[in-house]
Amino acid sequence: MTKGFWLKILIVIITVLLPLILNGYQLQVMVMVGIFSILTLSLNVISGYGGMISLGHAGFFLVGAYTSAILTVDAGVNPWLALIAAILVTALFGLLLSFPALKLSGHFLAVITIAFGLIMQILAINMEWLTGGIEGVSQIPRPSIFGYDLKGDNAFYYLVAVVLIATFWLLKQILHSDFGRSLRAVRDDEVAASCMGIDIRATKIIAFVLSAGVAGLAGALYAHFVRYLNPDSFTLEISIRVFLMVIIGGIGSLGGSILGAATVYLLPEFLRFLDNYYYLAFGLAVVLVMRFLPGGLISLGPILERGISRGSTSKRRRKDA
Amino acid sequence: MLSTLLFSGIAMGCLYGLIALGFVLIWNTAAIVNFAQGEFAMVSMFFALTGLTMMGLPLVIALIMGVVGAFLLGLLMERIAIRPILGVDPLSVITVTIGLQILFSNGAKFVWGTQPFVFPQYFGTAPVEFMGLRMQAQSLAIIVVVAVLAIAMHQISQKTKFGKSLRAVSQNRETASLMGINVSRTIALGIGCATGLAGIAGILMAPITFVSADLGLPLLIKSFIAAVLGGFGSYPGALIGGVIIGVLDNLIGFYISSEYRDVILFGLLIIMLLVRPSGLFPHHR
Amino acid sequence: MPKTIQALCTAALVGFTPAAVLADDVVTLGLVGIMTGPNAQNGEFVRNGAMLAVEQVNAKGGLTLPDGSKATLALEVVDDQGKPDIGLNAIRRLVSDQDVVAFMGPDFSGITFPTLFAGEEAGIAQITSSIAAKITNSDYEHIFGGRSNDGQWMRALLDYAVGDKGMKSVGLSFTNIELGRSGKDVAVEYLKDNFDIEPLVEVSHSYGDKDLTASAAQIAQANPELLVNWGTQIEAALLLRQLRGLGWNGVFAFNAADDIFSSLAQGQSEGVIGPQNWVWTVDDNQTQSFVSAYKEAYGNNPSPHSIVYYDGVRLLAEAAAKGGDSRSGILTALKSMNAWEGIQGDYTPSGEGGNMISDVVIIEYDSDIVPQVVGRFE
Repeated sequence: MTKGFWLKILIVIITVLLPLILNGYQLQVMVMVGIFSILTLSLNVISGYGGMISLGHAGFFLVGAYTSAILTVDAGVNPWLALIAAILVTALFGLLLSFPALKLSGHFLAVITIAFGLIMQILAINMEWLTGGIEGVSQIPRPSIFGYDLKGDNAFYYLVAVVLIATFWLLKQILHSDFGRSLRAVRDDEVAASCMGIDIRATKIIAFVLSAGVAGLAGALYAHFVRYLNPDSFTLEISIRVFLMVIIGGIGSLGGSILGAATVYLLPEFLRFLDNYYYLAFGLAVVLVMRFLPGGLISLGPILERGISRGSTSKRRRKDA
Repeated sequence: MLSTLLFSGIAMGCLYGLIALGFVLIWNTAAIVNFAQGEFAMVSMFFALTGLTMMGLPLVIALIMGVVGAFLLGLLMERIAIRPILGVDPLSVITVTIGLQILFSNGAKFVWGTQPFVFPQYFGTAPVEFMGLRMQAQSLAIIVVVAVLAIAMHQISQKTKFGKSLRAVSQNRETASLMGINVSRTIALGIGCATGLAGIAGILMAPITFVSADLGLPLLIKSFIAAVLGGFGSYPGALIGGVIIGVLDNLIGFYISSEYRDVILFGLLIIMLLVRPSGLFPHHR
Repeated sequence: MPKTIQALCTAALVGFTPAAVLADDVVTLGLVGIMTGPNAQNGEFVRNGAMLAVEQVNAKGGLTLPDGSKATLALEVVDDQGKPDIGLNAIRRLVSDQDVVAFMGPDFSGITFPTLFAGEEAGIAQITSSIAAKITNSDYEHIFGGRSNDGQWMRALLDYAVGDKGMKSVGLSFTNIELGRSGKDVAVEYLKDNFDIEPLVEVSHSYGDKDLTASAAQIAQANPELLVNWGTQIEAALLLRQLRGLGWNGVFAFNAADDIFSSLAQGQSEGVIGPQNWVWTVDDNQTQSFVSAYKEAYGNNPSPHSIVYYDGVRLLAEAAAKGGDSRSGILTALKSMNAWEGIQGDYTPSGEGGNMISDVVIIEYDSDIVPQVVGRFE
């Protein structure tokens, strides 16, 4: 049994037992961590593995959330169907956004993604007939499984946990396949990649569609969890925060994304005693982490490992991260 | 009305352009995207305001205090947060500056509170006549100051040793250092100047808008867009990009729609970038 | 900084007192308001008004419950930051605390309306200073309007400006929030039906917008005699400044012309008119003693929000005294009260939909930037 296997078992056990240990509010926070982990994973696909900076992922998050919300509240659609619709609609927007990505890179692409995120937010604010404007959509229903309403936060927590694990597994398969290798090749050197026969355009388009779809999934889950949406939850700050989650967790590492999401989301909770100034400490924390751990938090793993094996007296071969 | 809108648009655009100039300066000299660039404009406003209200300084001294404050803060930022990470991968660098943006804007909230403040007018609020056109006195002042600054900066860049060092470092750091230029000091001063420029934009902007701690991010976005529009690396491009944004902002808002103004503006930006992917004045490093 | 330390202390005193010490002698009222963020001054006025009432009640020995025992009033304050989703979270936190038997707030209509279902589901009485008419007209059983709604305000304002003062041309501008839009709709209808006037211009701006040049230009070009601006203070002050800079000299009317607005608009506040439920210059004895008590405790004049929460606390205390210190007890008691005298005016808690009060005053800022009462409507 490898070390990784026991770690996974441990994680599963903790995940299952968490609702029994935490109180109502804390559990709600963990659900949000789960939702944002999915969102972070989605951004990691194009920014981490694909090397394409996106500071507008809140836009995809918004599309997914509002699609599911509007369908269930205004059109009475079943939440599960609405969720699927949300994924598809958001993926469509991903397709749309992939076209500028084909022509532009680096800062130029970053600006387009910023513009995208801001445009989506402004549209949500002003198209009141569709989105409810700045007051948003309220009384979004929870989905139900075989008649059992997921009204309780416990039940929804398990739903998010299952979705997160499934998404993680799915992305892992995809990113370790040929497509994943193509994506990383495109990130590292586009010219070399095309020389090797990789279809750059197709790779980028698929990456965007995939990323958007997963972000849309996160958005739909968000809508049905908090049950109230308004444009204020989809600001540039949110896009920036998700970006920070990817970087702090460690780009190009799926586990890092979850770690990053958990850290960035939970840090303000632990710093709550600082009242409104926790954001100040948060900014400081970001600067410090990047300064001393440029590889992200996931790089702590190997560092710790090396520290531990150096500490033991027996000679062991160091495992590569 | 058109002339008023044009002039106030040009004025605001000059300010965006000034901040964008600083942004591009930092990029050219240190290869860093300073996400906190907008915060320096905000901070200089607050320094000036504090000088005015709490220390009772005369207006001009307070304004100078604001700009100098932004310059010094930039030097501090370079020393503590930037210098150690120069040369590290760009993604990490931009993350550090994002962290700094959060730090500065919340730091300002911590020190000065979250309420907006009124900054005294320099020339009163009545409009003036200039060359037969009606406009705000402040708009005129801004345009004049920025024009003078632009000329001065060009001279500095071409004629002074510092300006030449900056250009040398932008082109090739290794060669510059081989030529005897103190690269790290040049970079530090370059960053200080860039944040100082943002500081000047700040004090020029203060009477037009209310001073509040959350001004930084929107300013950054506008100037980032201006820099990209201008070709991301070109100085005249940054200024012109800023002016275009300022003018379009007003014209679109007035003639087309005030609610969807930003959507249309961003839409135009996207279209422009698709047509000319390297911006208006492509700059090759 | 001192304000936040004050808030921290208040929260500490109220929130962290160990339950064992206070046991069942405490009746806890909740308060949700804008405690941080750009409109935090609003929250400060709100909280201070409530705190003053709480302190005064406790200074008199607390309130007497139906069974004869005495109880101390306590206030649990939560922050909505002026944002609906944070507000929803805050209200949920409040109602999940079983000690809270009734609560007050939010102030922003845009936060109150979408979150009403939280209070309704919990069966808890809620008094709000929000003025959007939709709030009390939507069949919620637990909500009470702490001041007149904006429909009443708008009509009173127009009666004064167009009816009494004879202004002929009107422009409308509004912040693109529920409050702004509903106010504008009322204005358009009322102007047409009662005065046969159509607005010369209708512009809107977003909440948080820092550049209102385009809106100001449209208004200045149309040049109405009266501009009715419906929305939030910061944007209103900015708009006014830009309008004056463009040379527009008409009368500016605004629904939230209070000290927050005047501290931003400064000298330009002169001549600004607006509807309010109450202002600190109203010259009756009760008002003046409230004002001096407030001033002594907090150092400045109370805003029209302060009085809503001051009266609100006292009203809730009376309801608890009648119906007992439980959620249903207070709610039922309120619904059965036909008349209650507060400082703002006479309340009818049993009023339909929760409309308790309909008094409106029209104020105008004089050259000393003091709001003078120039008209009263009921």
